[in-house]
Amino acid sequence: MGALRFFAFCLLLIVLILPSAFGSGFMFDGLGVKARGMGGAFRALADDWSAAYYNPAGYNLIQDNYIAGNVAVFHNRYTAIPDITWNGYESGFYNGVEVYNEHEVLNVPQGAILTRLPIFGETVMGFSIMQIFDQNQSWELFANIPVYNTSTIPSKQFYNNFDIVAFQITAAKGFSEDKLSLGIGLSLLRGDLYYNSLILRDNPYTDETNPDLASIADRPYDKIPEWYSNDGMGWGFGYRAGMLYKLTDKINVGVVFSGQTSIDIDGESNFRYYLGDNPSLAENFFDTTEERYFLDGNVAEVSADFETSFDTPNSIAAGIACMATDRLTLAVDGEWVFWSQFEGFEFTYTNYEGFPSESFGRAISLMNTDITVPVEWEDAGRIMAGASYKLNNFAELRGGFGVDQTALTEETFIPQFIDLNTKYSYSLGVGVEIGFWHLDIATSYIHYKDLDVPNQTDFDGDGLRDNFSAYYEGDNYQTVLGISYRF
Amino acid sequence: MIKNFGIVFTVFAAALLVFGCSEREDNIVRPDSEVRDGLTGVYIFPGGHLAADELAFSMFNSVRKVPSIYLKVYAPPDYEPTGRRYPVLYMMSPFRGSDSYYFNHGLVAIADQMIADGEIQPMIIVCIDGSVGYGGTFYGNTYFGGKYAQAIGSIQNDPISGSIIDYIDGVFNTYDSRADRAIAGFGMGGYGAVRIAAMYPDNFGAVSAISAPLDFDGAAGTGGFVPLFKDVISNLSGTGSDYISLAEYRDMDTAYSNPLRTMMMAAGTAFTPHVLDIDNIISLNPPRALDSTFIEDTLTYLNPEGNVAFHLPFDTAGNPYQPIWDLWLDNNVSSIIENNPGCFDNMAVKLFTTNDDEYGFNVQTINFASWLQGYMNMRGYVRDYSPDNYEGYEGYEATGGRMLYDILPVLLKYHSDNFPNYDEE
Repeated sequence: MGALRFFAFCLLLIVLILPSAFGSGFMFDGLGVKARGMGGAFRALADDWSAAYYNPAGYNLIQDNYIAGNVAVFHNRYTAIPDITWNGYESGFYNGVEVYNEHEVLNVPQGAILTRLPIFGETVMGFSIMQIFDQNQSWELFANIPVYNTSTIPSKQFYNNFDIVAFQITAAKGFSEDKLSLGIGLSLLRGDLYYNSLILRDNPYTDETNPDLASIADRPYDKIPEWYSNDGMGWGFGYRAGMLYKLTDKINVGVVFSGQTSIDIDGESNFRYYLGDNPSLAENFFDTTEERYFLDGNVAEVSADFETSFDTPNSIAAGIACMATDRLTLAVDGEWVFWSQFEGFEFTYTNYEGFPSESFGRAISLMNTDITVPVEWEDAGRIMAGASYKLNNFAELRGGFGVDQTALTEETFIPQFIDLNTKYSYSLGVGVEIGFWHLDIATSYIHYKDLDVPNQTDFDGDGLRDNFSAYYEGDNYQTVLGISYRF
Repeated sequence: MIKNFGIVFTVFAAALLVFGCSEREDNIVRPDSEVRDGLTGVYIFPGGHLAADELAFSMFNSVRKVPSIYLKVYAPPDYEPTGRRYPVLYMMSPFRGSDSYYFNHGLVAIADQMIADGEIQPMIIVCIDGSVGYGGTFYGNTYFGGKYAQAIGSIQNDPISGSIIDYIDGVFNTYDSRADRAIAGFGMGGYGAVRIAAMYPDNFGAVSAISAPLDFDGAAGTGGFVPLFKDVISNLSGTGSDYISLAEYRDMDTAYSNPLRTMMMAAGTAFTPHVLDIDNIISLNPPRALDSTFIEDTLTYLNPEGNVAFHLPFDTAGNPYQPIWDLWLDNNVSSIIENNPGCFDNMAVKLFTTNDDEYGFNVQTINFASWLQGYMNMRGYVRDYSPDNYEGYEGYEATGGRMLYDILPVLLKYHSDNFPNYDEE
């Protein structure tokens, strides 16, 4: 069997084994300029610094000392058309309007240094800094209806800037004359979370039996908008292990496993409660009463400390690469991520400050509540295919294609986690070698299938909606620039 | 070739970045921060409108000694005392609702926003307090109970001591034609609106009512208020019994601890008042309604003061007491309409209901719509009076005035559409 035919057979096998195995969640894709140029199909090649992520065993293939840096420039372009009412009654969301996420062009720098050390014979060691998880989008989807306080709600109403950066030490060693390479990466993970949301809480006067008091919660004061922000960070540990095996001189296979870890995050929180502005009804109550407090258009500002934790999911990936000719290399990868292990955030709050009068029991019970952001995600996979073609000894062209499943489900879909639906990525790249230097660029366009979330759900039964009904569209644009020096 | 590829790739990547990452202009229309603050521009008349006793109405008044009707007026944002004229919508308050009632439910913000958006034409909205006595006037029209219907709906051409319409047309820049005047209300206010429109069809071009007691007895004579009579009795017995003693009956507590009971008393003062000592009608200070003395001739009398009293239409077992109940039924809007043939021939009528109405006024409204449809059909008009229903949502039943904020825009739009459109002239 020729190498090309064998590769084609393997490709077919992977596609058949993983008919729905495309997956992502919110793993960050902008790692490694060569890998991105090939659509992420890099686990059986893994011959640059980004092997620390794609397959640590690949470090064994790097013969030189090596220092490299990348910067990923990306732009997330989403549209939501909200559809949130209470059985058809106005809620304050921009229903029926195409709302765009806040415009931002983001960049993520990362890089590595590695060298061969005479440990256990010869071992390649490297240190890399890379962002392995990322979410960053902000939405303005709500406005207080005029009978509320007209104070402006911050534009970052639904906001999630969640990054996990891995500071990873990678070691790789070859066996059987480098036919088999094994590698492991141990990482210190730093998680930074800036999470905002806006929830509509039931007005505590809704349950009043006295009609004079119950009228405080008549529509549209039935809901009290609460905006909150959590800004914190935390640390954890992670690992990934990889194997790379040369089946023949032309065909490599790679397998990678990334282990689950938990990151505890703590920080500061701020809350704002926009209470009703009903001067006509307020006249019925004395100035110092709690009833008056709920009717005078107050914006209650409360702060607290928060804690939460985040469980990164396990993942397993495999790839196969074929050096079809001296110039052409083909590769296919599949990855399966156990996103069902991610259960969202449970924010617990302590050390509140800013409560109103202690005698305002309804207000304090409204404001003294932990918040849960439950998610019901599913394990998901993705498949990537790529090719590189050496134009000559100095330049290489790359192209790739990927299909990713979404891990998210409608029950808990919120605009802070925006992996909408199955997505398709198309990548092109080029690399130039000038002496010891390598310059690379890759650019990708990623398109999501549209998503319709028609119904609101209270997934955890706490009386608050846990998804965000809307029609969503999305595209990402991503360009990665890289420079490396081998010596 | 490499050079060419480099150029093509660079152009492609640059185009992808430039066009893909270009900023999009947002489509959000944020609320107008210029929305009027609080009650600015709302006209409040601290003393109410004092209508002369003999001319406009006289009233049994157990709370106030002054026969005034309190009102609060919404004027559109561009209102100028010497500027253009506006049509007028009169809004009757529900049981226990004051002239602030609709303002409490967002009237200013709703009307301002709809006018700004061009959804309705600017109009003056006069909110009338109907909460005197036991919590509601029922906009009755009896000498001792108060001639509210006449005081509000008639035209006396006397802005000083005539009707509310006289007063409003005298004080504000209003169009004074029938088509430029409409009347509406919720609950008891909806009953008042339909009643007044039926009594004074030459003065109003349109009427709307929201979950109002518009059919006192139902088609079979056993619906409407009738089942509520037993609720009052069983509540009074304290044991759930469907019978109370005469003493208990006479000593019914007039406090608002039981709104249904006080609502019956309010309707009693409006529809079937009884005066023992006319000279002392307005001399009690403070007025008291609980001090029962004696009523000997019939079970149906309740005598709160010794000089004024009212009759309730049910006996100690909660069954209708026909002599009084018949008088109430004379106040049923179907009776008033039938006694004033043709009153709705040229009247625009819009009805609303809420799903979860404590006293079944929604059912009364539905029954009235059905009756009116048949009645108008008999008069040669094929019209659909089916009410718009508002359900509330899970965990938030549509009780009381909860859904008014959602109904008011539809109601205002309805009346705006029925006013002559002066912008088109």
